[in-house]
Amino acid sequence: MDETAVIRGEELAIGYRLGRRGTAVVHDGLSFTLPRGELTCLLGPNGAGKSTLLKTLSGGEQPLSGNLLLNGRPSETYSVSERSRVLGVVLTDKTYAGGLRVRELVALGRHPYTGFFGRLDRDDYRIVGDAMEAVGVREKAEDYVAELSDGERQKVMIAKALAQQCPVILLDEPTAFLDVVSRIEMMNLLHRLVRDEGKSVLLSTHDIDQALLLADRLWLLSKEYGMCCGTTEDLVLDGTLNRFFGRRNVTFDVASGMFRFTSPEGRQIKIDAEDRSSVHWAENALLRNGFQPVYDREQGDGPILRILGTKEIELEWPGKEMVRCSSFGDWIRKIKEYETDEKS
Amino acid sequence: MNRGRIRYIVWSTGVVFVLFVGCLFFGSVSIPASSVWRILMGGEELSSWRFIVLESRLPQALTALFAGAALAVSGLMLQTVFNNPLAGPSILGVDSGASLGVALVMLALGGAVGGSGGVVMSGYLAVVSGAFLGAVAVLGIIILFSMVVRSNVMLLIIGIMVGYMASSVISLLNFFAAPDGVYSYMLWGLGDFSGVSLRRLPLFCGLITVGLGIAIGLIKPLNALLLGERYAANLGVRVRRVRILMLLCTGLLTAASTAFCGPVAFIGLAVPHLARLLTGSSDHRLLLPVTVLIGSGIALLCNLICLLPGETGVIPLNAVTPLIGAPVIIYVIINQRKIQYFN
Repeated sequence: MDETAVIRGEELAIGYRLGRRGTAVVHDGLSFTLPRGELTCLLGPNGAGKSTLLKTLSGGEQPLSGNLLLNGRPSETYSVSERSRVLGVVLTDKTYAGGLRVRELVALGRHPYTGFFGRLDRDDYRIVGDAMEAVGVREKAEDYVAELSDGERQKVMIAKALAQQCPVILLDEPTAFLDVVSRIEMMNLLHRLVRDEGKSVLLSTHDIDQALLLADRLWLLSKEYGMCCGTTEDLVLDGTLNRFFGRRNVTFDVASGMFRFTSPEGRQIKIDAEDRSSVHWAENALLRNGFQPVYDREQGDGPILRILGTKEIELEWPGKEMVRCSSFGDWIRKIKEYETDEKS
Repeated sequence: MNRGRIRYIVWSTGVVFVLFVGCLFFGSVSIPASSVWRILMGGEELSSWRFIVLESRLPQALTALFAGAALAVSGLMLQTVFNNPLAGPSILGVDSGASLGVALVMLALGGAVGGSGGVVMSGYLAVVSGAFLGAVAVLGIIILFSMVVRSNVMLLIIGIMVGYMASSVISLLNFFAAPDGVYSYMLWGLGDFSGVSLRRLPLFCGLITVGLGIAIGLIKPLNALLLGERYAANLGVRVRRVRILMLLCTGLLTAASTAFCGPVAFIGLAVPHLARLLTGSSDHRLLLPVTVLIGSGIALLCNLICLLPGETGVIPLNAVTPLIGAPVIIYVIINQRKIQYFN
């Protein structure tokens, strides 16, 4: 038994039961582990079955076959109330709690522990207060949920999950409706929960950039390749990430950690530069305009871009005179010009 | 339960008490207040006045008290469980079912029974059991569908459709029935709190007390359901069981009040909104008691308004309730932006 796994799937088939008409299998043969005390991101294109997987993990759907272990115990042996103390969820579902105050909504997280009427004792109040503190919504405690922004609401729902005191928290696209800054804040918050509170967090997201920065582990899911789990950096460096998400014209650039357009048929332009950031942004400009940046050209001579400084760039183009450019804008305009000249 | 919450409950209890006493002191027959007081204290008075106060006004006030609470609480639970501000007992088709039951009895028996007057005893009981069976039948259909249909909105639509079907069967029955039957059915349909005699009161109040008891037991899961079903399930709520309990409870409350008082419009729909506006909260620990009290209060108020013409007669209940209920609903719809209880 692997003590470090809070969730383990063995040859798991997920999907939906359609009553008498049998089952709709979304995935089968999935094997994975969710390690204790780490942040794991579930990445996958739309329709890959991320939501179905999360639903199955949270007990909303039963596995069609295979084993699902929660803390080493089969998931289906947990009662609803037992599971509510082990596994907290944050969903994208619409809620109808606009008439509750933030404090009251977070207090709903104490449900699994309170009595018949849900009355809170002193410990409960402290836990609710700490949860609001941890996500930074303490000063909003008396505000109505209806008055909050999307980001604040998401934080309040996370505070609810914290008040639930579950070692495992599952989040379904927690950054989906947030602006860029709120996204980064949210991911940092989640990572802080992992570090400071020792939570095991699994979140599904489309935000690959953020996931690569902050996820300890990745779960990749797609219709074609099934599921692949591993430490973030390993999956990046061994090309798995590109295999899962790469398309003909979009590939994952390991060096920059970004997905980029590529045009394999585009004109090759050799970049000659020392400075790392110059290389990066020159590549960026070339790729955007349908050229292929290269560093060693095997045969013949083609255009060469020599970057001596950000304001001192030399462009050599076959059949043209060498030009000196004083900005990136200049040489970008020039190569576009030359390209159209050649075509016509 | 903090002080602010207790204040709401104390205040609304006071208002309900005043309205209740009002219903005892005012009526279509004018009796001096001092005499009413003596009668209530068990003193000697004219036997006809005694009869009016103890056998008519007291049961009528108690009926309004309980029926108002029952309808309002059904409305509150349906709105929360279906997450829809426009849900109410009538939407789910339960009171259409009750009406169908009543229509079957009344139109089959012709004019022999009077729903509101209670002329013939056996006929009256037939009406009550007809309403009950009708409501429970619709409820059974809804519960059956709730096993299959997962979406609450779909269930709500099924409720509305079942209601329409019941109404159209009623129309067909009306078409083929004898005029006397149609007339007494129409009278019942106007709604009336005076149909419950002192002898039948214990049954009526008992049924509604059971229903309210179940509702109190559902307070905690109802709060969790404000977050939607998946969140509620994650908080340890057995959603399916709660939904069935809620349907049973709503069915019981609606069937009891509809059977005895006719289909009373708008109280179930409007009162929960009034309670939310007053308390500014969606927390059922506060909302449920306040809804009970406002439901009772509004029912008593409507009952008083019906008695305003004095000696000339009694205004039908369903002519009054929309006057109070409809503006509330319009206000709620227009102010969706300001009042975001369902957001």
